[in-house]
Amino acid sequence: MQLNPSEISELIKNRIEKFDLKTEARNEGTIISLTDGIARIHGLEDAMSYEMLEFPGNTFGLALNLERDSVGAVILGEYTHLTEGDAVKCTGRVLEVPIGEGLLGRVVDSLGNPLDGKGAIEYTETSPIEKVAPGVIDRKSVDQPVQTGLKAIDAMVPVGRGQRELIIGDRQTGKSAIAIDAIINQKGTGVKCVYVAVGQKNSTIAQVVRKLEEHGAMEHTIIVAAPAADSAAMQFIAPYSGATMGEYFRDRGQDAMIIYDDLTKQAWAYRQVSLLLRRPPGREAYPGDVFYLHSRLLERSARVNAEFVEKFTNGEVKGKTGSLTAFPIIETQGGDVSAFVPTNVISITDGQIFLEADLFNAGIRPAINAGLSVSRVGGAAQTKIIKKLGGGVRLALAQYRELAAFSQFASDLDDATRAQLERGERVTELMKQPQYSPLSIAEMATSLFAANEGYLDDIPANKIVDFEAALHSYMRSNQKALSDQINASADYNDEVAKSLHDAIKDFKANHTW
Amino acid sequence: MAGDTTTIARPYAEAVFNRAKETDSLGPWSETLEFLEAVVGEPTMAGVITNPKFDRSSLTDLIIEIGGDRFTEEGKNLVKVLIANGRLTLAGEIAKLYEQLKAKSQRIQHVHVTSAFALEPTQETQIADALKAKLGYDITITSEENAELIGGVHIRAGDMVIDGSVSGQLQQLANELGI
Repeated sequence: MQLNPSEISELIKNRIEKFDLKTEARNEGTIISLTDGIARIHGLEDAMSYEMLEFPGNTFGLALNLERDSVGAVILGEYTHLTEGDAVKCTGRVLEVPIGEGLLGRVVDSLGNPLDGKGAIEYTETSPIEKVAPGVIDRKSVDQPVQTGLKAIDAMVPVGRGQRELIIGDRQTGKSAIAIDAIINQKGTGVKCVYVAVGQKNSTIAQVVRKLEEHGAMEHTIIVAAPAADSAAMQFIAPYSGATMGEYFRDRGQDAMIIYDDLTKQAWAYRQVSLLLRRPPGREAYPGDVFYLHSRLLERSARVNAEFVEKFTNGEVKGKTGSLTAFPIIETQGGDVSAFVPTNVISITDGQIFLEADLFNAGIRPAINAGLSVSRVGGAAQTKIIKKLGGGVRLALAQYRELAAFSQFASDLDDATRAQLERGERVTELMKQPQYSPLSIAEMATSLFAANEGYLDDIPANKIVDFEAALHSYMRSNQKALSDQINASADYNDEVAKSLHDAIKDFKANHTW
Repeated sequence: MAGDTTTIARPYAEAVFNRAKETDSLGPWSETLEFLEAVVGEPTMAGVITNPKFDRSSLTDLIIEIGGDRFTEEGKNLVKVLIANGRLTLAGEIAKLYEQLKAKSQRIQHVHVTSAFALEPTQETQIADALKAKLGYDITITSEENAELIGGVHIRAGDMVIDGSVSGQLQQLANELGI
């Protein structure tokens, strides 16, 4: 037997001392059936929707179906010790999770209990997992960028703070990799990250934690894990718990980012719970409210204005806007984006990053399909220099893909087409970026500038990756002042353009790659 | 499932209750339903009800014959309706719901008190008075002794439970400490 850290006698003494014994009238019912983590409870006349119910043995459940004579509830966690006839009590509270800075760097389950063996979570506040999203009056338009550090995304599908950008693709196309890179790139920017892992393997989650620790990104990250072995109820509530933890930062005038990896599995978990609760199945056997399941979750990602923050904090934080940027992830089956859940989430979000297995296998990573990926609001939030330099990239790439497919049949091509093809080929190469190596704004700008100004035209396509790496290292060592200036102001003018011209010319003349 | 039979029995109970109120015969209907419950609950009767050899009309005749004078004209009609719908087995549930409706209309709440030691009559009245003040209902009490409570009382009035027992408090402490 192992002794828990909470079992020190002094602590126990304190808790017994503070223990407030209450005898109050409570609603009580009895379990009449218990199957697959779903309990039907007779009685409990006063139960509220989504109220926490107390079962014997310190087990809790969630009242989901309120019927005339019975209540259908999901049990959160283990239920094997419960039997028919057990008493169930109302608690009068909706489900709450701990919130606050104390969660940063921790791995917790859907209820906020620590999973990482680093002791109890320090928190002073809790907050309900289901909340109504900020209304129209409380919001502010998205006009600040979230730098993901991935050239392809920041140049082609820019994401703003408070935006919801869907990452969609088949299995093994690098969806999570994009999310993890985005978290790593938030190091030192003050953006707090929440990574919600739903229905994933424990080994995968452990690997993510290790990678984030390796890159020093755990300090600003909370991981909410509802692995595949957790009950469906835990998997279904995990995104809501994560959103509540992220809202803590949003409401206090900070910027936060949340990744739901992935919502397909959450919808599956919800489908399971709903069918076991005997709710009528609809399309693909999902219940009727599966759209609302995701819309109410994603609506909580928002940018709130300074007045909202000031009112929320009772005047403690003034003149600061808060944001919660969401990256929901959806896994498609065989590239089918017209399935139920993908179409729902596409319509809810403000754009999508579409990943393709074919591109991934062709070695283009991140495997972003430039034609189908869009960002509906991010353009307004893009940094000036990237906006200026990356403007043509998306169009060039989309046209190139079409032209490339077409030109396979043509024997000879006119010069203009050939030039466009060669350009496209180089830009495709340029958009490649290895995992765990997010780029700064200056590095990104240099690459895009080189492509725009034709500095890549005389470099063989298969050498582009090497050329870019060497160019970046040259910029870091020989042009530090210029890099720092671009990173600091992100401004683009003739002076910056001239400096970049000079730098790249110097690099091409005097350095090897 | 218990929940299902209640749902099916409720419209019958409500119909009987409303009719009883209209004709001002809450008491006689109580007796009728109690009697019907006893008849249907009889083990030999259970075999007869489910026996396919008895068709509905002969079953109706049988039940009404057993009842004799105890069934009023309306009581007989209830039996006919129940048998025609194949719901005779729900008689017990209907009687229970009817009694609940009756108690509610007469503002009576039945309370079940479990205590570690036998309650004295004065204690019972004390509890009844306190509950009357709290709930605004007249209280009828049944009590039970259960040494497992260790001390104190556990009061149940319908769905509402007031747990003032020592074992309940110990359980609260255990939950608080996360044992």
